[in-house]
Amino acid sequence: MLEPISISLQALNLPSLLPVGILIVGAIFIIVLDLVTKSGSKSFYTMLSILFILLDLGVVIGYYGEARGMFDLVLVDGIAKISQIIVLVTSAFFLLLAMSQRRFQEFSMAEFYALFLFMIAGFQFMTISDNLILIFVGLETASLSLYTMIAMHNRKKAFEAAIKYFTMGALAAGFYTMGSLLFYALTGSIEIHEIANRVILNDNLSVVALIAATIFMIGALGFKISIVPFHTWTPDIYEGSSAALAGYMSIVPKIAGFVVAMRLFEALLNLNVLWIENMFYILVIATMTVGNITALVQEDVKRMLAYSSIAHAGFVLSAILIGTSEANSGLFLYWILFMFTNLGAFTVLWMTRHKKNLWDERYQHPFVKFKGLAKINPFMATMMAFFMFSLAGVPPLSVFWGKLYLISAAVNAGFIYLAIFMALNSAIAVYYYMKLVIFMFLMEPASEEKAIFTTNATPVLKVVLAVAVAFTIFASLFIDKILAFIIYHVTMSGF
Amino acid sequence: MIGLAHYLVLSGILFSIGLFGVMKRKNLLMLFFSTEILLNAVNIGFVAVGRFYGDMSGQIFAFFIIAVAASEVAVGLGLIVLWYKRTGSIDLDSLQMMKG
Amino acid sequence: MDYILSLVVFFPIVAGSFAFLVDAKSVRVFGIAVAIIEFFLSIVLWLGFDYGIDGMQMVEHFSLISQFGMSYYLAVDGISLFLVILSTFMTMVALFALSIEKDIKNLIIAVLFLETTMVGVFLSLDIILFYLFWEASLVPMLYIIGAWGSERRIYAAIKFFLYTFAGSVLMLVGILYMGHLYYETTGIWSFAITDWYQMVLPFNLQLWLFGAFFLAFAIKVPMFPFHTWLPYAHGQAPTIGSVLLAAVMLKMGTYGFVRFSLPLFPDASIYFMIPIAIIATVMVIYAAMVAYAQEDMKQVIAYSSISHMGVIILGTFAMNTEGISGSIFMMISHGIVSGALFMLVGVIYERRHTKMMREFGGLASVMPSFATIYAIMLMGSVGLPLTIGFIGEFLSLMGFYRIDWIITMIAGTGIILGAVYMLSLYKRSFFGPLVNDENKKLKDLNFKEYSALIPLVFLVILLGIYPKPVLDPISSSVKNMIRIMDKKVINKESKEILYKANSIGGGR
Repeated sequence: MLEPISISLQALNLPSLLPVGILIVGAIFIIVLDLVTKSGSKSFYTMLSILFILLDLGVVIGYYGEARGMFDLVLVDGIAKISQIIVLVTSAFFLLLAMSQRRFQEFSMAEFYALFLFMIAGFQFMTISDNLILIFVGLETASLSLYTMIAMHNRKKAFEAAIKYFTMGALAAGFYTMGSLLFYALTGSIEIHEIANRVILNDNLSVVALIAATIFMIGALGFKISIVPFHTWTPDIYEGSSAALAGYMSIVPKIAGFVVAMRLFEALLNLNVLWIENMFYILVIATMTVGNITALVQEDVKRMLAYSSIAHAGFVLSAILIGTSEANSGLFLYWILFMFTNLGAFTVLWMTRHKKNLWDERYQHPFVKFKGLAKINPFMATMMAFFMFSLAGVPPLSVFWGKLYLISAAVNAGFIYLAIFMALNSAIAVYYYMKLVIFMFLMEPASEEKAIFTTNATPVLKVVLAVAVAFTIFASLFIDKILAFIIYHVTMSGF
Repeated sequence: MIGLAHYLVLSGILFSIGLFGVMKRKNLLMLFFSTEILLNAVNIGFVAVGRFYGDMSGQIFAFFIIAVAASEVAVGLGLIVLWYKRTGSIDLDSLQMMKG
Repeated sequence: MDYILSLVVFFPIVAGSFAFLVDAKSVRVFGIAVAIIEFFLSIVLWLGFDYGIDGMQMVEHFSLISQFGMSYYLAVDGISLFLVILSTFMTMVALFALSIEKDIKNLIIAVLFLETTMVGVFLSLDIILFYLFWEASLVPMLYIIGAWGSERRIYAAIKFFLYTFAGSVLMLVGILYMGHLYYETTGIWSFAITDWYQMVLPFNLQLWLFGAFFLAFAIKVPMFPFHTWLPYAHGQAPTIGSVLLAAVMLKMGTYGFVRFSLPLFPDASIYFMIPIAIIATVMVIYAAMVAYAQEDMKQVIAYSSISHMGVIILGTFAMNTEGISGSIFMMISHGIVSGALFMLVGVIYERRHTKMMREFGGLASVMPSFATIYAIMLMGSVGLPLTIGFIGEFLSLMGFYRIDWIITMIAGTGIILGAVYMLSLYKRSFFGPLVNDENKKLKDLNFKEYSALIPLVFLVILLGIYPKPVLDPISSSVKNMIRIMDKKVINKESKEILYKANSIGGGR
């Protein structure tokens, strides 16, 4: 019957799993520590988690072994490396936001940090595999932790957000598995590169089934990276969760989603099935445009940023449509630049967090709150203005370079109309970002009370803000280096 | 003779039922059941296709889906309990603080 | 002296950042000191300028983003030299006359930031760098209009920002496409304009790219159908905002035409020569007529700006040395004259808090020096011989006369119309009986205003009588540019038109 098989440890390539292992061990360690001693404080757990993350980051950067490991389940190629670095750096920065002035229930519980580490491990699994099972497991690990962390904010709105997110996530999981099933039924494989190969080899493949599979996959990943029409949950979830977590959600789940989308859809787009390409074209433009237009009418800054992050996701998604290695490098460049700017913007919101909703019954951060901020707290207003102009793509601030590079990639690949759409969309976007700047700088303040804007500020948060603003302003000085790093890794892994 | 096609059709029908439930059901608990149906519909398909190709990965995938579905239920029910404690209702329409 | 250009560009922004630390009482003096130093730096630049070279000089070039071919590339030639000096000079003078007290610190900082971006636009030869300064210049101007303007300032500021931003995003696509084409043909990424000058493009591509660039420049100028933001912005902006907007920021658009559109797309420029000339003529006449109908003194000057910009466009698209040199000279003269006029309106607005002409009348008897300076500036604006305005207008029209004498004649009548509305403005405000009681105790100019206006008067007359030191370097650089165009032109008809435009005895 079953014959004993011997596999050498060498072939398993365990170091390829070491980064994720560190986080899982770290998370378990935190849970055990909480069982043994009750004396762990917020700052202790934050620092401990950041230590684990940094350790992980070191291992990721230092890994130069074989790309394949664990029976070919794990694939640590260039884009996996870059995206892991983005995930880890972002996580470390956003975790620092836990060190706020006011007490929040979730940050005093050890479980929060354990879940945070599990979630990062999940995202890492998504990026380091092209096996649909492993991606699914990573996706669910991350999402389940995230739902719980949102609910731990312990406000009615947070519960509502968590349940909405959960429902959407469960539906997305259904779509994902259905898509995988269709691919499996079509090709007999659940490895992305194998799927692509077999589709090419097999001539009498049902195109309808292929398109159906693609649609399910777009639905599943679309929920994660909030592509129109699967974006409707985004603003509600952002509104319900704390600013720190909302900012985190605008970056990390999406980059993990982008990597999966890049692996999967670029393989599909290479098949030159007309329908798939057209569908993607429409999705990209719809995501950009709908995100931007809806953002125009928002009254709350956090919701505005939610819609703006949809628009940015659409912008970046065009890289996958274009599919050249220049565009793929542009995706990562854009997301790194966007990350620091969004980190800054959400940190400002987080700092101004107040116990009561002083300005609006429903919203915590309505536009009117920031009226005349330049007179009350000019420093904060100036920084926020930098972030807004950066998101709008005003040169020489950071996100402008990402836009420039991506539009240029579109032009170079012959997607002139797409490039024009991207440019026009950034022109629309200017309006709502500018709206906040106008509220801050050109209107008279409602009250002179300076303290209400810094109720949640601590030196740690200020340092995070300083890093973000420095990166936003001086991005042009080191883009050269970042881009060289990205291009090297992206071309190395064949994208 | 029952072939692969029958299993796939069954899987498809179950999936449609699940999808319909997710769209139409107003009760949160029912909604979660529907998502379970979704996942289990896919399980049937995976096992059948795996058997058809004589390949293990379909069945492995099904096992993983079962595991994930179980943990999803754990988290989901936790959330419903929390919500019920807060509002005394598990109706979908009670989730409408945030709109627009 | 190797890095004089970087110094001129970045001195104001660095000094402006220091202004955060200066306390509010002395920040005005600090701002003026910085502006004076900056002006002297630009004079040093002029002194170091080698008249013998007609191409680019004082080049500073190093790579910034190598994968992308973007570099830090600054250089100056006769075309940009005087626009830089104009920017630094007008900023200095505008700060002399500054009388705003509210949030003075933020205003000074914004003005100094704006100065950096304005100088940067004129000096950068890498087009991405140019775009960077071009867009960045909107932000301080948005703040100046929005924070210190009159009642509807916010709307005006948004309108200004959105119009110009939306116009320039298409230019960005055009720029990137040009970069792509350059890469396709040479295998190197470069956004240096001097590299692009070497590239000959097929005609239909030229048309599209010309269009993409045209929109951005035309909105900035502003050309006829896109001009609606300008009167609004002027109407709401504070004096210093109007001065810098009219004197320098509008010139970015016309400078863009001269520096980019003409030499990069010579065939397309020649192809569109007549349509653009017609638009420019419509602009001259239409704006003059609208100006005549205005009640608000500032609006009259705002529309007269549009009218004069029309003449500048006409000169630019004459495609010959006279026309282009004339239009560049007129950019400078219009900068000085319109800046001065806005300042003068600011003077009376500050005293009476109204700009409506019917409120005035007989001002000449209470404010004689004010009236005299106003008169001189009006002469300059109308283009009376021996004032600065005459030379630019005359050369521009003379340049276009070789292309088409009918359009030139029609545009010439626009200048006569200009005399009509300006003189009627003067008559209604300064002559006649002093009816309004409030006007009777108006004070004449004070020291601050003298210090700003006297240098302007001096320049208007001096350059009107002896324009040679300014005109010579301009026309030698323009000749160089036309040689580049001549080399690049591919269509036979365009070649003939270019030849005809540049030969004596052309015309019909």
